[in-house]
Amino acid sequence: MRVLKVESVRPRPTSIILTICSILFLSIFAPIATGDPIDDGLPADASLEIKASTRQATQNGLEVQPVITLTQAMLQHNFDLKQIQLVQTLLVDAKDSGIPERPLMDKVHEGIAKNVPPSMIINAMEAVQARNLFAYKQAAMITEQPDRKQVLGQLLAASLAAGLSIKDASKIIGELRQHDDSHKSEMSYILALESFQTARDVSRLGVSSQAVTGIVAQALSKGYSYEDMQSLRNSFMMQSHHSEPQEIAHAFAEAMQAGKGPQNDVTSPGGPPADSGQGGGGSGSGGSDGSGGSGGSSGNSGGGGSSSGGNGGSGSNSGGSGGPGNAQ
Amino acid sequence: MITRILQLALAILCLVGCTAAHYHKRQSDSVNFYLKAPEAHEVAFVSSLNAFSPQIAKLKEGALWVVTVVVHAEFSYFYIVDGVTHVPECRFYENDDFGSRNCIYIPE
Repeated sequence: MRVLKVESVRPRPTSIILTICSILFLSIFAPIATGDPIDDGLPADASLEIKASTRQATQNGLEVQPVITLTQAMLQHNFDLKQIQLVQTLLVDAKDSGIPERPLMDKVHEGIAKNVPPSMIINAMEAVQARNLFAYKQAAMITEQPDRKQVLGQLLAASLAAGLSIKDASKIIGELRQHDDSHKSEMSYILALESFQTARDVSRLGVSSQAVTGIVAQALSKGYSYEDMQSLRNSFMMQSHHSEPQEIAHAFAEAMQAGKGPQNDVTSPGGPPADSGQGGGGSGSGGSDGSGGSGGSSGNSGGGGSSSGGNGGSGSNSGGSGGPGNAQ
Repeated sequence: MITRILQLALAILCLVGCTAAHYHKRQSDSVNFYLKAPEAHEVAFVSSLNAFSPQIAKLKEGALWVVTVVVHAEFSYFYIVDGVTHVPECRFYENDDFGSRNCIYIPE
């Protein structure tokens, strides 16, 4: 009778060592093998300095992909190393200052699309930065709430982008502060919201900075409430379909000087209208898109939309714009 | 008489609309932008919606170029016509910090 012997199989020492080494190798080199987003995202011929600068920018808190996309675009547009580093520094500075980086990035992309030289793009970026710093600083003096500060900051920044000067914006803000008996109150925020939105929308129609201030600052000095300001803006936007905005602005300013209120109430000789109490969040115009308060934008119409296309097609008249409350 | 006047006014409005160089039409959540550029070979729509990445327009009929954009918020835009920046007549503008300006589209 045969007895079968079963021998236990023991692994050899060399195979154990090989297994351990393989595990160690994979654990060390696998992360490198999966790739670094900066190295993968930028062109292979991008210099080490540019990659290091981009990596530093992301480590300073900027989102990785937008920075990579921007850096790629700058490289394609022949920005040199210093210019790329300056752009990235401006973005980091914006983030550190609590203002949005997106407008700065957009300005670079816009300049590239328009084939503007890199040095001019950087100048434009610095101009945007200066506007935004001013706007958000002013917003912070009106409200402490971060989301409201963003809304006001965006509105004021958009007004400045549309042509309102910092000097004239300061006049409007000065008038707002006159109104504000209790610092950073709900009413002062809503009034600021409506005032900045009016300044923005009227500026976007091409009205001069001085004329915009002539309306908004004067309205505030006459004691306009947020509802009055909203009414003024709606009236202006409606009239701008038929008359030259600059002339409407002059007519409004004259009417206010003559003591006419937002509803053209001759019994109210320009004194502070009755406060209607707290309204909702920004009277439906909260947020910077302005769609609520701008009284119709480019006027979509099925028949070709002449008023949507442009001022040229809308047949704007230059006569008789009337006062703030007059509908033409 | 009044009907005739209204019909005439409507006809004039349509005529003005049809000859406008730039206009748009809203369709649910998208907007068609139209630009008349008779001599153009290529037209691109460039906007802040997508970091100013050019979107090539289609030649619809004759000299009318069209591009469709999904819109949820306001944005700034311009065109590039045969490699040259073109800002059409529009209702709202902003300065572009390069010595020119952009159109602004504001959804109703």
